[in-house]
Amino acid sequence: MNLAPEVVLGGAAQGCLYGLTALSLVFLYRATGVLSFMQGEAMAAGAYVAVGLTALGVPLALAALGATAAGYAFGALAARCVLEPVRLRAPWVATLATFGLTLALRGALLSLPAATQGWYRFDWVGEGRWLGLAARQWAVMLAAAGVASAFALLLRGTAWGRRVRASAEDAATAERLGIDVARLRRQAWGVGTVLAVAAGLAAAPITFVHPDLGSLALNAFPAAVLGGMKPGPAVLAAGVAMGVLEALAAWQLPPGGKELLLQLVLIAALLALPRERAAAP
Amino acid sequence: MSRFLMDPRRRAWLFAALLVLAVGALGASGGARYLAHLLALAAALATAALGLALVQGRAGQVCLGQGAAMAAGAYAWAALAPHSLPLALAAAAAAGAFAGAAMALPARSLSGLPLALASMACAVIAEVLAMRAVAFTGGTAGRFVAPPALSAFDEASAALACSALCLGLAVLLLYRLDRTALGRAWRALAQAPEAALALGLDVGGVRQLAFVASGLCGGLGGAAYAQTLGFISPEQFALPLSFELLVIAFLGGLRRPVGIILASLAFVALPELADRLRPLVGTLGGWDPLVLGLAVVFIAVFRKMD
Repeated sequence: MNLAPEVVLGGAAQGCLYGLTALSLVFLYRATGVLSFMQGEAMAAGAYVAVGLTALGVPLALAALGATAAGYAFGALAARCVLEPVRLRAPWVATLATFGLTLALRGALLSLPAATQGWYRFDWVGEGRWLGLAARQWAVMLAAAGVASAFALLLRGTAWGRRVRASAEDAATAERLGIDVARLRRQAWGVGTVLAVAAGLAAAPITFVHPDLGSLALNAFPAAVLGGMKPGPAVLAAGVAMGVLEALAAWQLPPGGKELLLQLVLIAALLALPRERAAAP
Repeated sequence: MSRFLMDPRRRAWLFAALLVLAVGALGASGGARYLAHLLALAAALATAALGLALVQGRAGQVCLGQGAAMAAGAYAWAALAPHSLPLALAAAAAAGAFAGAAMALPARSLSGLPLALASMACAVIAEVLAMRAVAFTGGTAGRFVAPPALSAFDEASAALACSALCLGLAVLLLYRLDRTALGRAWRALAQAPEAALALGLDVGGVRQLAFVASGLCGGLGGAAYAQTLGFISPEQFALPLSFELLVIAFLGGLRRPVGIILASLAFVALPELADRLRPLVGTLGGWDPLVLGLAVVFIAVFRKMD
């Protein structure tokens, strides 16, 4: 029996999650100049908020909305209290502060007895198969495509997105033209966290909700670099490519081969990345 | 800042004294041996963090993979320490330097964030290799590190002696290097990269050498770490360790080794403090990471960067 199409499609579903996480990484990096290491924990925490809300009897759609609202509030608050004041003094220390926030979020998650005692499901799809894949995997792909297009629309088609792009391009000029860049950066942190939460919610049907959900953010780094470190469809496509590559490697290579392969791709992509895109904005 | 506070230098000394007192009090309640264990751990972390301070302070780069250098040193030490201590120490330093050189391979064409990401990829690769090379590393099950055959010492004091030796060696090495032509080249690179380039300095090569020296420190730190813990497994050297070392190096201050030693003391004391506060919070599974994370955030926000 030929398994290849199923392996490739399953990998693509997983890769959509890498792509979404990479999109949030790249967006935050472009909009604020900080490489964030808290996207993985934001995914896990957002998924837990949604699970908690459904446990309280809230309908699925409202729970998802509540989780994204919580994600925005957390991102904007973290930016106001921690990340933006620190970034202005030393950009790398802001990255380390996101590591501190990651630890704190993780500690908070592990401190909830209910969170560590089981794997939960925030299943907004249900059973079913189509073309050799579970309905859940198709739904993940659709959700990723939907979130990515909504984000592209926000960035390309609204005045807010234009302001964000303008201040990422040239903050001083944007400031002079009357754009409140500091406020915009805080909002960008909120939106970036919302993207991560959306990735977490999209991941929930195929991976369960558990404290290590965020570990898949590690594979978002190769996707982000391969996508050119620029928010756009290339990042999502690179994520899908990473997912397919990982699935094929897990299928054909000895254990450990897929991690090795993805990191080698990351190094190769870094070496191939055009220099002006690699430089910090 | 204000007149109610002392001037910064005296405030730093007071802070240092308080910190040392706190570590002493926390460790002493577990006995002298436990105190020796804590101090050895702090010295091991400081040794590895010194290398990161060199890479950032001199070459202007950030290394996210110091855990890999530590792992290389730790496994080399674990394999050779039962046979010969000087040989094991040399092998640990060489293995660490080798790991640093491997991380520096892209440094000729990359710098800044891409180089940091490349070193992070190297750290993940090193972890996977350590997990797969079961014959040498024991795989995910880990391996024990035999206590050294120093008859005059018990286990904890031997570990403290080993850590202190490694820290001393690293400080001495960096101090000596700083006074050579290479040290001047590093300073030139840090202070005026364009001028260094214009003077015909091999910027990429000098940058790579900073990674090698940092890896050497990491290898020594790894040896001390392995000896202190008595047991090593690949997960201990995963990305969180690299980040913790970076936190120590950055928040301890990149200028002087004293700041880094103090920061690693604080880093070792913090989980102990969290343990003492545990009766207040009951059984919280994530209490330690929560306290550590909040402390990192707090210090990042309130520490004055130089």
